[in-house]
Amino acid sequence: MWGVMPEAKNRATEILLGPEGEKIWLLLLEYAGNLARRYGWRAGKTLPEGASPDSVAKDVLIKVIQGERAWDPEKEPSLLIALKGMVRSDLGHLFSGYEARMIERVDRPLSGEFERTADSFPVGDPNPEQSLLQSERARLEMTALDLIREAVESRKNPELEAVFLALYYADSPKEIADMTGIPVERVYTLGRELDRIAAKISPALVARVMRERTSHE
Amino acid sequence: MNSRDKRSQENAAFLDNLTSFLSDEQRSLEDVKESLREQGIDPESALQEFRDILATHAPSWREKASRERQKVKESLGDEPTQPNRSREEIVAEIKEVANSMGSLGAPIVAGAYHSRFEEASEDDLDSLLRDLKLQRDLLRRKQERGNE
Repeated sequence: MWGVMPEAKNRATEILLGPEGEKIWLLLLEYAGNLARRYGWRAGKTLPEGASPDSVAKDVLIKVIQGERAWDPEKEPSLLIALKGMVRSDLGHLFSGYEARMIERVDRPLSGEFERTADSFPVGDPNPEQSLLQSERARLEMTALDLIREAVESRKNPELEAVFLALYYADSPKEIADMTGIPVERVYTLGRELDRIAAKISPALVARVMRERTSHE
Repeated sequence: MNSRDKRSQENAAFLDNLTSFLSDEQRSLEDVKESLREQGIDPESALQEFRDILATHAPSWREKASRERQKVKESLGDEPTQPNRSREEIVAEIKEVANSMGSLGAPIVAGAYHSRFEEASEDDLDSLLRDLKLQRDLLRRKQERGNE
């Protein structure tokens, strides 16, 4: 059970019932979808059965309204940012289940029938489970990024490419506008184009392309 | 850190930045709705669902009152109008209910209705009586809960 803060609960409800409430909800839903896709790119899968980004967002919303999850306005004055943090935590837990299943048993024999012993793992290196997981994640993420880059390049739009490159260094439209010299309103428009591109790159597509590319290596 | 690890970190950071950029809060409501449509979510249905969640889990005082009234109505059953009652009898009962509400600590503005009794039809009076009875029952329940 999460701590209950009646005043914050009432304040959260008040804000949600107020003029900003509906926009906060839509932004939270959108964030849950974007983040689930981001985690999916790393895991090569969408959420487990029965869960969806909007069900996670809805669960967070109801728990905050009912006071089962606490928002501390002194620590985080923005209700939306606090809600996003809760969604991030819940999605992270759901995806971590996949990662646990991707872990290989340490006592599994290596190819060539050799068994692993303590000497097989130099001190300071990641253990075999960590190595496997990191390598799988890294390949999936690289594939997702490659697919995004290929789609951006196919648009033949230098401004879109500039925004894409700026995302290696920044995440706010204002910073990207400053870096690229593109007006911020235009950055927002280009963001919509990137959103359309990202929406088409599902975790399942990333996993499939990664497998195809690996088999050709 | 070797160059492969460094590249992996850069890739991960890029995807994090992209996710954050695509979720920017300063965008217009229309942009957010368009983005939701790209995700296969109908924003209008999502908004309706939000209103339903609020009505259920964070009802406004008006919704709470309406729900309470409905509960009382259901618990009382659909009390039939007593047939063949004279207009004077209904008005007398309205005054009696209004007085009892005053004694419950809710000096109802029923007095305001008195001047209109003469203009009101019998159906209107009957409806007013039912409404006042419901409010009185609500008040009684509230007081009983307070005494527990």
